[in-house]
Amino acid sequence: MNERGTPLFILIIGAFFILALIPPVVMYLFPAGNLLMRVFLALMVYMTVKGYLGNSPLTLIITAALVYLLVIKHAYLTSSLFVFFYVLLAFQFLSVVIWGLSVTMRRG
Amino acid sequence: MIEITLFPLFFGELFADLNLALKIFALLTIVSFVWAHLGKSPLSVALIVGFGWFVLFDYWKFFGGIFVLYTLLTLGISGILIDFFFVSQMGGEPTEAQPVSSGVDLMMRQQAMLKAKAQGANVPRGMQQRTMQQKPKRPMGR
Repeated sequence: MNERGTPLFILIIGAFFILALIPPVVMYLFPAGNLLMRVFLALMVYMTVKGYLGNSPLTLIITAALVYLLVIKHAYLTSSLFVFFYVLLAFQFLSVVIWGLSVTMRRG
Repeated sequence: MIEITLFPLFFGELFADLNLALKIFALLTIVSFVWAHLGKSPLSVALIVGFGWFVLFDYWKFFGGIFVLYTLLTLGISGILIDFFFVSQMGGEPTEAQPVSSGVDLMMRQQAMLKAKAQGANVPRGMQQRTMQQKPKRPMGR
């Protein structure tokens, strides 16, 4: 990486950090958003486990364990990871952020 | 003071919980893979138990990292890495002359060269010819 790439690297990492912080901050500031996010995460966990195991009692047991760990105990971290990796990364929005920052750096 | 001493315990507990969640997802992956190939049979149960023990308990230190990498690659992090390294090589002002990209770009370059020439700068002849001389556009159909 050249010298000009170093501040761009820091800028990109900073932008990613800010994007990852947005869901927990919204959850902390808005109780309705907190509840909605937790319900959505629980549904996502159930859909994921059901996709692996189908309709069975084992699905509910594993869903319950994962919901306790991810949605009840560590909801803020799970929401941050979910939005960052499952939404932004899967929809290629992080590429948009990288290219946008690089164009802004070159013009500025 | 108590909060400071308990801080590492929080991260230790967090890591343990995330480790457990990751092991559950790895087990689900193994189960769905075996069921997809063998269906629900005693052999598939035996394979799930064997693979599960091997991956989740014996060599989890090795397979845990591989599973995280597999998940990230499935989600598309390789594209992000490509973008990042490609863009970081291009970071800052371009060192080579860029081709004219539009009429506005051409006009801006001409103005910059006229300004530089007025100030007594030595404008390269080839560049001046390339940007100043343009072939007249032929009307279509003639």
